[in-house]
Parts: sequence; C-alpha cells; structure tokens
Amino acid sequence: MKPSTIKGALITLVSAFILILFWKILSLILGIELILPSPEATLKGFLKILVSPAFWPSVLSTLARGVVGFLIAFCSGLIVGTLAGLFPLFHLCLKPLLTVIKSTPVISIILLALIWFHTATVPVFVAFLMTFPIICANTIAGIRGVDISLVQMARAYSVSKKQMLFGVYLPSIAPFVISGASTALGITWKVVIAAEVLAMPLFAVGTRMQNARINLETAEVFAWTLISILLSSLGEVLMDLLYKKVNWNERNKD
Amino acid sequence: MNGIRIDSLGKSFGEMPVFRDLSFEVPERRITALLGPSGCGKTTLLNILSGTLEAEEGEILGTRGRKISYLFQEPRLLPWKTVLGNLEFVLKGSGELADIKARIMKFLDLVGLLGKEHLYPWQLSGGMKQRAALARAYAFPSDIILMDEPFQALDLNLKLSLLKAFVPLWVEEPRTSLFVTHDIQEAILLGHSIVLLSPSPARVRRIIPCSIPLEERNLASGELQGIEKELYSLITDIKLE
Repeated sequence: MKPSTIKGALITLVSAFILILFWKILSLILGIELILPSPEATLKGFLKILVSPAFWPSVLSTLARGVVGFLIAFCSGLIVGTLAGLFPLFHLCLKPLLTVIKSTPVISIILLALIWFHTATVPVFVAFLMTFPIICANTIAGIRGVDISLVQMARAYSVSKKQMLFGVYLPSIAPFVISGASTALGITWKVVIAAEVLAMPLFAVGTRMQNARINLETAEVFAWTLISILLSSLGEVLMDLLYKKVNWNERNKD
Repeated sequence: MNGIRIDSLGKSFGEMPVFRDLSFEVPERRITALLGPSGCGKTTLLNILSGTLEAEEGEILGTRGRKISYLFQEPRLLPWKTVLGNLEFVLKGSGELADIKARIMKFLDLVGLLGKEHLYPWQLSGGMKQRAALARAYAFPSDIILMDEPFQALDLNLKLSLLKAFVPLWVEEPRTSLFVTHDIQEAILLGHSIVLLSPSPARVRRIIPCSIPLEERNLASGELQGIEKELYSLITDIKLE
C-alpha cells in the first residue's frame, strides 16, 4: 500500500472517530435517548435488528427494489441519452420532459406513485424517475464529448456501424455514464427508502424505520439509517472502482 | 486498374476557392507526393478522395469500390484499446482471425513495435504511437493509402526514424499512395513523383518524377539534390499573396 493511501485511510478513520465523539458529547448534553440516542445505544439497536427475523428480508427487498429501479433507469437513460446526443431534434423534444422530472419534488412523485401503483412497486418507480434524468444527461454530455477525430478515423477505414458504436462511442461515453450512475445510485437508496416509509411494503428498510418511529424506538431508526448508509457506501465503492477502470482521460494524463 | 485520375477538380469554402481546375494522376502502386504551401487545399483533396467531402467541379476516377487507408497528422489511436486492439479494430471482418493476427504482427514487426502490441497508447511515446498508426494503415488491406503530413508533428530524429520505418512497409506491399506534405525533403525521400501545387486556389505547377528506388534514396545523392534545388527555386518563385 502506498504511504499516501495509508495516510488517507488514517485521516478518514480519525475524522470518523471525531464525528462519533461529537455525537456522544451531544447525546450526553441532551440526555434524552428518545431524541438523540448515544452511539452505544445505536449499536445495541443495530445488533438487535441484525438478529431479528425481518432483517434480511427487509434489507434484501430494499436492495432488490433499488437495483431494479436503478437498472431500468440506467438502460433506458443510456438508450434515450445516446439518441438525444446523436440527434439534436430528439434532444429538443426530450428537454421539457427532463426538466419536468428534475423539477418535480420527490414527495409529489411518491404521492402520485402511491395512487398509481402497488405499494411494492412505488419505490422502484420513484427510483427510476429520479435517476433517469441523471443517466440521460450524462450520456448526452458523453456523446457530445466524443473525440470527432476518432470518429473520422473509423469512418476513413469504413468500419461497420456496430463497430463504430461499440468500439468508439460506448468506450468514449463510459466515464460520463459511470460518473452519472455513481451519483444516481447514491440518490437511489435515499428515494427508495423515502418511498418505502410512505408506501410501507411488507418487507422494507423504510417500513422498519417507520415502525420504529411510530414505536418511538429512536435508536432503531438510527440503526436502520446506519444500514442505509452502508448500502449507499457499498454502491459508491463499486462505482468508484468501475469509474477508475473506464476513465481513459485520466490514464492519458499519466 | 490504372491508379487514380483527378480531373479538373474544383472546390471552394463559401466565397474562398481552395483549388480550381486541379488535374493530375496518381499512378498505380506508386507514391505521389503532393507538395504545396499551407492552406492550398491538400487535406481537402484527401478528404474528397476518401469520400468525406464532395467536390463542386470535376471528377475523380479510380477510387470507387476500392479500400482506402488513411494516415493522419496525429496517430488517432483509440485510447481504450491496446496497439493490437487498435489494429484489429480496423481489420475486423477482413479475413480469418488467425490471418488478421499474423498480418498485424508482420506489420508491427516492420515498424519495430513487435513486443509492444499489448501496450496502450498512453504507454507509448509520440514516435511509437505514429509507428502504430503507420502499421495500422499498412496492415489494413487497402488498395489506396492517403497520407496527410504524418511526419509533420515529429522532431527531426523521430521523423527520420519513421521515414526509415516507412520504406520496408512500402517494399513489402506497394500500394497506390498520395502523400501530402509541405516538407521538400520528405517529398523527395518518399515520392516516385512530386506534384508541386501553387498557393490557393491551388493548381498543379510542376510534376517531377524520381526514378531512384525508395530503399536506395539518400539526401546526399546528386539526383535527389538536383530535385531539391529545382523544387526550392520553383517554390521561392511563387509569389505569396
């Protein structure tokens, strides 16, 4: 491991420790577990829900909803964004729709989805709708950033359209798309859990949080929040690894 | 097939004529060096020949249905593919995979890049990148090679080593080539005939043949020095507007 990496990891650990210390001091000052539970009470709550029978079904169901919503947004955003990047007229037609989706409050989308869909489908739909514009916009930016000299080279050698798409366009837009996907995945967990809190499907992290809130189990709300942070961090780490693999521009600077 | 014939070609960008009534021949399996000042439409002519631009007047015979390789000023390698991947990208579909690989290796060997086929462009020096582009142009089974000042951006040492690398490629598979340059020495080292163009709107000023085989050319030889002097005197005569 490089010394700079070790140093970076140490700084992160120290920062996390300071944050927990700050949390502990604040909970001591307040002295009411119901409002701000201490870190150890949260840990206790975390261990309690970890062994509860509803833990894995809830986490896996939330995970599945997030992944499905994200994948639908990723695939459709990639296709629609590619078309909009290649055909300016299509982009102009698409612009109002993207603006409406981006400007609509998440809560409005969740409430409307509650009217339109089954409770378990609501989080999937909300995740799709909130992340689709991000993937789409990044794909459009990627298509516009394609090095035209490489396209001319491929044309000069009369490569097929399939080769042009898979050999020139897709690798060119990959860093933009993965960067967008990383942002979108972070948002996915937030909106999926928010939608679950209101829709309350049978197995869901959001449902567990809502139940804990109703029962005034603040430490449990904190523990479920910790789980959602872990889910989000895992996605971020995976996306970062993927981004490093496809970011050719950074490698070219070496 | 009798090479390429450019007949009374005319092209302008808006009000500005690039060339007018441009006519000359590019003989089959010979290198024709197109020498002219900057802005006289040399690259435009290559773009018309490759089909990416259209001429307004005249016609071109001998390019239809023929495969073209294009060697650009910059290497234009795909940064996400290795040297081998870059060559495979343009050769895909031109034969059996094993034959394509063998052909690629042969040309990488000729340009001195054997053993570097698994490196990415960012791992190569500027000269190595241009060698890879040279190998790509020659490995592609084309009938015609268009070269747009491929040695222009290189320093003198790299330029000379690349010119040296070019000769075995040509000897291995001679092809109908149009080599655009504004460097007299490059033109006389590689051209079987040198077409000298006037400034814009370009016209053919003189066509000078050179019969010495490429592998025997030496800038110190009497015949090449004679051609160089002739070209210098013709170019310095041209009044730039």
